[in-house]
Amino acid sequence: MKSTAIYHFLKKPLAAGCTAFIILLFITQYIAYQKYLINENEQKKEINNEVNLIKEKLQTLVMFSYSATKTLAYIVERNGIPSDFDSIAIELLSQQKYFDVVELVDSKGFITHVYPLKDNDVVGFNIIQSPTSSSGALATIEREDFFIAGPVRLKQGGIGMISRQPISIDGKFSGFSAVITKLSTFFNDLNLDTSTENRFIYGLSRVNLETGEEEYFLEKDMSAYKEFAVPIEMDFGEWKLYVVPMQETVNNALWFAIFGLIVALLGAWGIWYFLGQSERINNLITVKLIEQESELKALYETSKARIEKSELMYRTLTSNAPVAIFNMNEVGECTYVNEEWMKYSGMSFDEAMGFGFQYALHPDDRERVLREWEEAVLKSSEFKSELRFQHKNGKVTWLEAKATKLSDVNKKLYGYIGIAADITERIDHEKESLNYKSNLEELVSLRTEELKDSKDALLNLLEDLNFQSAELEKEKVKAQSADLMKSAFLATMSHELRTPMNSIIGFTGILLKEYAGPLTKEQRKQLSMVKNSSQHLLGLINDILDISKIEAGKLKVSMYPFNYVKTIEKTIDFLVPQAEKKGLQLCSEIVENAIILDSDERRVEQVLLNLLSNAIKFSNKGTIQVKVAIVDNAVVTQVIDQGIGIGKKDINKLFVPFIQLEGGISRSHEGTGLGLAISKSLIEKLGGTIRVQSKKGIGSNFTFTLPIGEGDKE
Amino acid sequence: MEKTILIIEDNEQNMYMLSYLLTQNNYTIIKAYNGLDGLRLAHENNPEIILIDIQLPDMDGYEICNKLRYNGLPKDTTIIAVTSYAMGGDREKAIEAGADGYLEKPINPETFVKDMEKIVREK
Repeated sequence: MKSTAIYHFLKKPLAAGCTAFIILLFITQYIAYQKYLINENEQKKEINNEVNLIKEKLQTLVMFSYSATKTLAYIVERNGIPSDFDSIAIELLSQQKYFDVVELVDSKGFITHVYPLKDNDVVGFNIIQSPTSSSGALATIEREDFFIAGPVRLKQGGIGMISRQPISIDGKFSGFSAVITKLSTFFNDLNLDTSTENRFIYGLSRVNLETGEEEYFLEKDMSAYKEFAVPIEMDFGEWKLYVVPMQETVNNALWFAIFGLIVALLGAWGIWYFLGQSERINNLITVKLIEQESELKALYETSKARIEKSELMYRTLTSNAPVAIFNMNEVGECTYVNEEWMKYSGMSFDEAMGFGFQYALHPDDRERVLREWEEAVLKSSEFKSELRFQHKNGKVTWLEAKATKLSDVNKKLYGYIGIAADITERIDHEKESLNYKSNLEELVSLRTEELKDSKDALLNLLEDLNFQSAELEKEKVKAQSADLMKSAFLATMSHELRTPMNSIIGFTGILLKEYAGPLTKEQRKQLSMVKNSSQHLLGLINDILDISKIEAGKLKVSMYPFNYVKTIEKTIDFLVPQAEKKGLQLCSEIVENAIILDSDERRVEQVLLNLLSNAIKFSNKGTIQVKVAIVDNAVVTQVIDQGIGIGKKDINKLFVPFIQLEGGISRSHEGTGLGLAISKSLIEKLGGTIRVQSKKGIGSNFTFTLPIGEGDKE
Repeated sequence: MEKTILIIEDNEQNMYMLSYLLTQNNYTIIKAYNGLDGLRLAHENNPEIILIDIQLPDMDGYEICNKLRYNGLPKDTTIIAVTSYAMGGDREKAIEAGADGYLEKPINPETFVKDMEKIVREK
């Protein structure tokens, strides 16, 4: 029970992760600690070895320096100060590579010999009086024995120890020999030896015997590493050697611990994640499975409902179909018949099942139909036949039967579905129609012939019509071209007629001016008649030209602003002589001083001239008045006379070209009868209107209206 | 001082009539019977007044007006178009082509010279 509890506990990702973390952390920290311990032991051992090694080397060095000083002292004691000091010194220095200088000092402390001299020119220097060297020198003298002073800072740089051997000649102290050993080089070499791994830092100090203080050499303050100091007892004092391991060795264990921590964290996370992942996947699969199950269930339900519905539809369809329907299996047995089938055969559903269906067939057809059916089944082909059913009560029905194969998805035949329609009526009709057919054919051929005749007649008619319309088209074109030709003719002729008129009028005028000489009274009278006639003729020609242009639609007007009041005055002035000749009065009634009209001045003048001329022409008494008024942006001009007037029935003909009223009058009044027609066209072209009011015997009032246009009223 | 008038007119009778009338009124006449001669004589003689018949056989009268007006003729030369009655828009076309005024054919000998001098004065 307990183990299962733990098992379930560990199945939880977080719990498993935490557990893994703690275990891994413990293991790695334990290993790190062990490593640390091992490291420490190893270090201690190593330091011990190192210290012993250095101690031995130092002792050897001391030994060598002892023997060197002793040798030199011996030589001096035996033979006095040697003359070849230099060669002896070279010999001594060669014994040890750390030996630097060989000296001889006399009994008073003066240095007498030095080798090598270079950088060590201390000959004559009193070491007893030197503050740095005196203690060592004095100790040697006092002890009367070999003594090593130092380590001391050398004058020539670096650290050295000075070994001194007193020389006594005849039992009397007479100086000492000295060898300086360069310790700094020695230690440098030691450091060089180990620098490949660089695992130790070396330090050296001397303990001051009097004060107990340490003096550090090799330019290093080692006071922080007291625990690594190893005392080296010399017969002349105590040195302390420092062999300090580099920091990394300790750090290794720390790094390992950190690394272990990370590993533990990663391990814990990994376990948590993967445990959780499997659980998540399991959940997902379960959800999917449930979804699929419900989907399948829904699908099954809908399919079932659909199939049931389909089945119901099929049954309803077949039951109510107005044709016989039947199902057969793959070996040709009947499995279903509908109500219609049973109606034709008079058999029940059960009777028709299996091979019972054959008894529905008419005895005369049975053998043939069964053979055909058998053949279709054997060949697995369609079945199609016309056959008779005989009802139990003897009634015969003609049927057209057709059966279609039913195959499953693998195209394997599993039965037939058949349908049989009642064709009794058709069979009967066929018999009848055979009789009709021959009659009909006869009739049809007759009608066809008739139609053909009609068609021919119609085609002829159409041809005639086409011909006629073409003729009409020709006529139309002819008429149009004739119209055009008339206009062109009139325009050309008018021009051609006017050219000689220029000469006639011009020269008559020149003659009347008497440039060529004075005229007699008769000549003047006759020439005046020529002038009047030709001017009348010119007026006719101009009228014809205008009307032909109007009819051809080529009349052009050019609109310019002008003072209409001035135009009226000018026209009246021009006609006053004519009016006075007939004893008529001509006057105007205009309120405005100026009316600026945007129109074609010449055409307006032409209309005014025409209306006033007519008024003069058809009046024998009274006054002819021109009245002008402005009404709603238009100028209304009235020409009122007290002339012969126009009858009601004639008023409508007034503006029609070439018509002058009443034969008698037309003869008594010269003119083309075009004037009013032209005036009307001109006024309409200028955007205005013209009308007339008249009473026979009382007078006429011609009124025309023109738009003021863009010109301003002043 | 007598003024010079160049008459460009193809019709012999009209030319005679115009030149007679103007000579009687103390003008010096130069005659040109077609457009090209008219242009040449205008440049050679620098007349004060030029009368141009708009209907000429070789050139359009408006074209001559245009060429005279814009090809080196002194600015104070008066160009007058002589047009036929009822040719719609003749007057405006003549003014646009550079004429200073127009006179109508058939000419009225009683008023012609007066009308012409009015145009010269008002130019």
